[in-house]
Amino acid sequence: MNLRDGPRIAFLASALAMALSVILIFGFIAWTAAPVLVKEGFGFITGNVWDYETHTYGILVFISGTLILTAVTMVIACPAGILTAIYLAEWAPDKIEHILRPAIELLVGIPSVVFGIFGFFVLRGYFAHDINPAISAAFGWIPIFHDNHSVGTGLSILLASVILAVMVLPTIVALSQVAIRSVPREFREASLALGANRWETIRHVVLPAAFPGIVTSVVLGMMRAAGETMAVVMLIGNLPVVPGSILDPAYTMTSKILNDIGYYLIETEPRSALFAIALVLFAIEAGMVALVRAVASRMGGS
Amino acid sequence: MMKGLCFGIAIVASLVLFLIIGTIFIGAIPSLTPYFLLTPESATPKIGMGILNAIVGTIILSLTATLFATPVALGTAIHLQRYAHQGRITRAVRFFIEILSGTPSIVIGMFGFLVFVYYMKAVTGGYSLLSGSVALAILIMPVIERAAEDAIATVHKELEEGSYALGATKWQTIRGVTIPAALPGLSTGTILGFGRAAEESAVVILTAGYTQYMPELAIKSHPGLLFGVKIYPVQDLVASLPYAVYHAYENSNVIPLSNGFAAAFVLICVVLVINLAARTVIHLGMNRGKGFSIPCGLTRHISMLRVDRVVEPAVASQDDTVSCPFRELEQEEGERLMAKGKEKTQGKWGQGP
Repeated sequence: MNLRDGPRIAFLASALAMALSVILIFGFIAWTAAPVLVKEGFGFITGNVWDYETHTYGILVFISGTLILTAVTMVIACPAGILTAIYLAEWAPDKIEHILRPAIELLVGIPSVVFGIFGFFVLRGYFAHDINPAISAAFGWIPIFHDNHSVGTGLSILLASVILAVMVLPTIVALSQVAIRSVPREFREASLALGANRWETIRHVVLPAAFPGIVTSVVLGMMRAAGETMAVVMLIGNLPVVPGSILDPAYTMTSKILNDIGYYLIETEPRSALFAIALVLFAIEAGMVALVRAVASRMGGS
Repeated sequence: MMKGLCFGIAIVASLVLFLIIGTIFIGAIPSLTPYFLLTPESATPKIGMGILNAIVGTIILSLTATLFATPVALGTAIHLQRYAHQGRITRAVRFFIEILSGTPSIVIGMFGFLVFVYYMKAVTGGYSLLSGSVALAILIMPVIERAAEDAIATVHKELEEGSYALGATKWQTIRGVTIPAALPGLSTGTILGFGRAAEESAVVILTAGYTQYMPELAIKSHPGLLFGVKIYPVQDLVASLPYAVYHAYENSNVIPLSNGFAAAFVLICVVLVINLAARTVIHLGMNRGKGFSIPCGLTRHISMLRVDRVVEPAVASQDDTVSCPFRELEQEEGERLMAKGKEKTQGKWGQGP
């Protein structure tokens, strides 16, 4: 080793420092979470009672809240995001694209806490008095659209997922658009030459070719939705029951952590339980990262 | 028909933006007074009547976090792009960075809360600027790293090969060619990281705390801390705009709604200005091409930075698919520089690759 190796070693050191800090963070979280995870075993995930008094920790309620919220969000955001991306990539004249694309991308810049107070102070009233009752009246015979709390506050999975959908929309639009644009022009021309019209070309040629990229964008959107805290804690109602319908309030893993960590940090066991939630949440996100990597490697390493 | 549907949805999606910002702006108008914006909360008669402390706090927090994160992130990006061999360690480093960028902010927040605020209280002072900015730095490191890697990856191979051909070492090439060429992308990444730090709320709430007072510069005796002194503002609580907005939500029975909206509007403005700055930097440095077009404006940038010898190979490589508004201008400039280079190096640089 001599002086000329200095820069190389400095860069290597910073890369290793970054990797080590990740290992450290997750090692630390796992270590803190271990006592409760060991004590509760698999019941930590399947149990639906969370009580600090009786030392019972089961997070089924919170997992179901997070999963249902994410699912409803994606049901709203995916069609809107992908169709917008198709329009921007395939049809939009330059002028319109130059206006729409920055506008949608700037949505990324709105902080989640702002979405939260917008949802709470502006949208909540409409959901409480108009939208939730209307949906319940029209589709109430289907259990998942039935309003089980007739004097609703408006705080519900639907309200939270509408806001979350707006939050993840830019991610889906931007990445899907890149995926659609990167389909070679020859594919389209071949299809058009065979007599297919524009929409047939998009549906049968462009979308299948761009599919891995679109899946990646959707999974990244899901990760953002599942990990979101501030907007959700304000809008989901924080009622610890397994929700029966999308008009019910619920409780997610992230909002449980944020609501309780301030009070229970100094007590060993509750702290361990809250970190165990974080570990499960992290495992869910890591699973999604693995999915993205698997999809990306199927794309051919691009 | 499908075209109309897609168009409609695209319009609705972008109208949502204006709807949200517009509603918040209209709700904020009654409170958007110079008094509200320029008075720290500690100097107002009731809570939530001034946000200068939060504005200043957000800027200091994000700046410090960016300062902590940028060297590590840039170093990592340069290592992965230019030094790393494809191997197990490189793959592991990449995997960990991806994991970190996918980690929900609340997880980083609670880690910072337990480690920096609780366990290391003697060093950080508990809720403090130091705890907050280190936690934020962890959060934004992958953002900066990813953008920096992308920027370095777009640097033309020919530029670097030219530098090597001149006998430059790897470090000289990176310092003199790669980094200047990637500079717009690197700065954009750093600005984006700054913006990400400014908009983050969960981490800030759990690690930086909130105070009604402006950050102050002082050293005071404090028995609980390391060395018995507390260094302001580093070890002191710091306010931030996201927390001010959250405060308005938590105390909505006391704080008028318009104050919360005004804080939110200021926060939006701060973040949008940061994002626009990032866009401007990337547009100044690169051409305004769409998608993946190769940033040929970079060569212009390099010639501005006076590494003009290496401009020549890139200009000489005729890349017709690249659309570049500056192309002709650049070619002229390139030819001029080429001629200059020929004079200097007596014709050795005449042949393109």
